[in-house]
Amino acid sequence: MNNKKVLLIAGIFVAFIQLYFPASMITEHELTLKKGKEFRFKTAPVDPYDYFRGKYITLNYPSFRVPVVNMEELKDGQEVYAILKKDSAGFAAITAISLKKPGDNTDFVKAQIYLPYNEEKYVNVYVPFTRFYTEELKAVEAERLYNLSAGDSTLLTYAVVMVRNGNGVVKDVRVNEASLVE
Amino acid sequence: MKFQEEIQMLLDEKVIDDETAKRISVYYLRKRKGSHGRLSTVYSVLGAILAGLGIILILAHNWDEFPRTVKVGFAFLPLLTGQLWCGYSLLKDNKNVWKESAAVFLSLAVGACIALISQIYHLPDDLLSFLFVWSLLILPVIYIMGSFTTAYLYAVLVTWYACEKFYGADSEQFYLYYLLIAGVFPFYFRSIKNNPEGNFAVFLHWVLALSLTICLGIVHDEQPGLVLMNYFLFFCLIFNASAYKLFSPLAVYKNAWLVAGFSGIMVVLFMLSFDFYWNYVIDLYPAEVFFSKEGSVSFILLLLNIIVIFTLHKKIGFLQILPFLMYMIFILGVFYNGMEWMVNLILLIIGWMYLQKGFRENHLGKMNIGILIIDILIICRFFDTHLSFILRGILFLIAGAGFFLANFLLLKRRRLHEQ
Repeated sequence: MNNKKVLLIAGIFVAFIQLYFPASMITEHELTLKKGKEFRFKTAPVDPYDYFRGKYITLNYPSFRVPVVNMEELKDGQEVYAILKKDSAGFAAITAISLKKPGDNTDFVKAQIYLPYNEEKYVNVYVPFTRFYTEELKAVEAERLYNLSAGDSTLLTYAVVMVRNGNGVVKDVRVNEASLVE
Repeated sequence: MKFQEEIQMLLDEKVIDDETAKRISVYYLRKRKGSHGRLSTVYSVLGAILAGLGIILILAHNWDEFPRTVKVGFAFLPLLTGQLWCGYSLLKDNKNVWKESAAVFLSLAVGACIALISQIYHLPDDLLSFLFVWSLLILPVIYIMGSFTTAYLYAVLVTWYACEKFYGADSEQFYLYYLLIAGVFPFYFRSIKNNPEGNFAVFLHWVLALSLTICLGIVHDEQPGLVLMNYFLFFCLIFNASAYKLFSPLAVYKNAWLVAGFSGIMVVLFMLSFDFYWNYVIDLYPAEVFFSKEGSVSFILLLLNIIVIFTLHKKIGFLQILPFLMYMIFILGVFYNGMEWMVNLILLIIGWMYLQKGFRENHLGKMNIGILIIDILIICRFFDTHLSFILRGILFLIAGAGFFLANFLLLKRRRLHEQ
């Protein structure tokens, strides 16, 4: 009986941890969606499959090249803060990277950098939000749209990403203003 | 009921009396009941696994029509159901069948919940942290519910994680795998104490032995010359540990540590019987053998072997002195060429030992293991191009003839014995 009590108490404790972890994931991303600032990242979608999570579109971003001075401090795959600005057409651009967390007034996302093979002083910055999950049947249609837009320069695809405190959550993927989901 | 007809017949023929007939009936009925219990456990657990996987797939469809809040609710639904089911079966002191099913359902629901949240918020692919978090969140379920199936799932997740993260990465953090897998061992020892021969326990022997063997390759190495030696000592260790009182009465196929250990020893010895590995060894500085990271691992493994052998083995045979013998040969290999011939000799001795043992004990299996070892040894030498074709041809002829002859003799002796 005593043993059972201990197990039950431990069980309740574990149940809370099991609930707490996904809940904390949700809170962080929900806050980003609610309170974050909207950025539009130009993309080119393709469509693979994940065993656990279903169909998604891989979002390929044109490479962000950012000039840097202190090349010696940087290494391949390093996580940095990418400072975001909007270009003249209203799309997201990465203007600089920082190893320290920027202040509140700056928009930034956590990103990975890769160094060039030549001696030039720049890095390629990769933003992490590269997946957009869709309903399995729609993924096929999305792939078709991608093939269309790839051959048609008048079609423009981009991801709408909400950004807050270094965290980015994809809200939508659009082809010429029309949402891919709808 | 066929056996009851048989009993009736034996009764009619007066082969057995009423008392014996009753005892036989009771015995078979009880046995049948036991097998029903086992079957229902298997079916319930399978049912829970299928239901859990079904939920993962249904959620993976990604229901775009539902608003985000509803989808988040869906993510928690299986998790909460699993938790309540587990709580209920603990509270009601349900049979193991229920606890096992509830635990495995909950364990799968934990994975489904995290996966679904990544889907809802379009999180990037991060298989590593997904596997890591999933396994940590289900580890306590193994202990609280006493669930073997969750223990298998945990071991598989941890192995998957280790392979993804460390294979070919040459990372110094590989010990993380050993910390994670150690998490299941207290449960393992506690549960096999009661019934090491039960189906659930046997499966866990195999899962753990395989996991440890698969993940040997993640060990960070700067000295390729020392790695194979460490594998060898590890396999010797689990082989010697298989004589532990809970494992030794097990049938061979149930004693995973014995099978994994012995096969591992053989594979490494066959690799060492070629000269390529010894070229690495002779390149080592003597100091590296003792003072490098890998060198200290071999030293620890050797010490563990000594402890296990002296606590578990009353009689010390050739296979027990192997770790020391090979360690000596290995150290000699740093100074001298040609150690592969010593390994060939060792393999020949082991083969001959099994052959003889098989003959003496009238055991076809052991005898054929002996023949197999000698034959593989000869096949390996076939690839050594510095032996002449004639010599290799003769060796093959002898091996083939020996194989037939030994089996023929043993079968003949058996037949004579039966007559």
